[in-house]
Amino acid sequence: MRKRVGQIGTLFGFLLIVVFSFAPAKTIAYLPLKDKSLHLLAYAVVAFLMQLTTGQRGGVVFLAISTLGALIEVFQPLFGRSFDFFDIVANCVGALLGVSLAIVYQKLKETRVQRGLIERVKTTLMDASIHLEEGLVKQLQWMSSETARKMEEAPTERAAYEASLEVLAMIQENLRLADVNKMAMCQDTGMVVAFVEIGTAVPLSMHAIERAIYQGAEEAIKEGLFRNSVVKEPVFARENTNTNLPPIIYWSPSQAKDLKISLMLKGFGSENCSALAMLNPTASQEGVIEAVAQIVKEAGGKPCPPIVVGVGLGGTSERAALLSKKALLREVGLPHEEANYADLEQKIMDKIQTLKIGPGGFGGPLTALAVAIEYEPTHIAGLPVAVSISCWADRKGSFIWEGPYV
Amino acid sequence: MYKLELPLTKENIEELKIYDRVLLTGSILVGRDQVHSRLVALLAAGRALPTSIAGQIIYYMAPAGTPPSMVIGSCGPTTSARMDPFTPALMEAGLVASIGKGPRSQAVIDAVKGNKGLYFVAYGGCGALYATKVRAKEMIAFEDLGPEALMRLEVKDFPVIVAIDSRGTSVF
Repeated sequence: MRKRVGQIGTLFGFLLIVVFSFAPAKTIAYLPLKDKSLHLLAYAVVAFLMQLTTGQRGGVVFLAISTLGALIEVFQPLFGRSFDFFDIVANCVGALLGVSLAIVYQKLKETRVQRGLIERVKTTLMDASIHLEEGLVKQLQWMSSETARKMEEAPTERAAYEASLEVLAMIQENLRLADVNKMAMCQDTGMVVAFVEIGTAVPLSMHAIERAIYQGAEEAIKEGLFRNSVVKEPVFARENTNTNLPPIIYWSPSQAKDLKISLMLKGFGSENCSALAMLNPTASQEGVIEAVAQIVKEAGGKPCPPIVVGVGLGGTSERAALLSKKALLREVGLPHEEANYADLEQKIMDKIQTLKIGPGGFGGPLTALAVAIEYEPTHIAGLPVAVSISCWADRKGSFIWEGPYV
Repeated sequence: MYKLELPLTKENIEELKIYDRVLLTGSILVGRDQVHSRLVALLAAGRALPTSIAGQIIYYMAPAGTPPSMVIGSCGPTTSARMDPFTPALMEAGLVASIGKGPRSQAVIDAVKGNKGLYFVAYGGCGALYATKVRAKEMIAFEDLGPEALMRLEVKDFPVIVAIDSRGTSVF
């Protein structure tokens, strides 16, 4: 909208210049400003608007306007006006002024937008390290009360169930202390993973968004006292980057209007338990349930149960893995929007509970806090199944950036 | 619930059973993957360790940054299974117990039984809680490892659960 207004304004301003340049001298004698000042002002305004709206380099805009101005001056005598070299000078100075002011304005605007975006990334990450989403806190409470209830029905497993309840109680106490002391609930503040959904009306470049995410993450990591848990390369020296950067960023265009950034802190106790299974295309739900259950069983007590499970189905192998991370972004408690997949999520969750891994791996009756599936089309010959396991400290947050862009 | 002073006595160790909840007070060592790799390499080479591990307990942990007015930042346990290859050697050399989270290998269970030691689990992810149980921290060696360095902590009422007892019984 703004761009359209600017384009019309530029065209209109240019038409006005043409009209006043070629009108007979008498008709413009009444104009208030001195002749050269008028030239300068008019060209400055048009140059300013053109620089803002065309997205061309400043030099190109300047040259274009100056050349047009010079041509107008050359053709003025044909309309009964006079050629004045210093008019060309005034035009060029005006154009230079207009283009310069527009560039300064753009830089200031970009800085303000950048700072705003950086702040949102920073506060989202810091908050995620300290607080869990409400739905997850509720699920933890559900698990406590349900475990206590089941304990009555399973007297021979009292020791395991009591240990499970103790773990859940400690988690609640830990969350309270993290909140009170404003510190990371878990020392493994993890790797920062970002999912960027670029809407149709977002004027920011990917580079600008990436810069904002890096900067926001860097500030959150420093201010939030995150642990530097990232190494430069995985095999040889494994030298710590001492910044907990880089973040891992995934990009997709979206049909929404605005920019959405979803962030997660992925700890590696649980990440080490993530896995991929390439099933036969005929595996169907039973095959999927079994594959996920097998991966969770293998993980056992290692990923800090109780766990949140993200399942990616379809695509190619790496796409399924990405989908399984995307699934972890789902609000805990929100089922898949399609009934049969929501049902499959529940079936997987029920199956996981039968594994009796329990909080802390002590053998309690409940292991999964939530299961979310994300699927995409896949090949006729396959059924990729990827599982991303999150510990109970399933830390994430997201925001929609609506601007300002000016 | 047992409140025990460190170092643990033989009686303490023999008395504890799986699922027992314990509050530990005293000095513990801290080290994880790289520290274990280095300590075991030193042992294998017959070289001296940076500090004595005899009768000691080691906690698998690397902390987050320290908030102002606190001794240590978030400091919950890391996954013990990664230290499995190293634990038997350290226990042979006198280490009495380890604190981590999650299951251990059969070799570790055997080492705990054979050396009459213990394996405790701390509450996974409860970094903020454990930070409030630490009275002092001291860097001992391998500073180049940053947060993964070999440290000593003075702890008070540090809550853990016995996961493998001296008879080799395991909760997992």
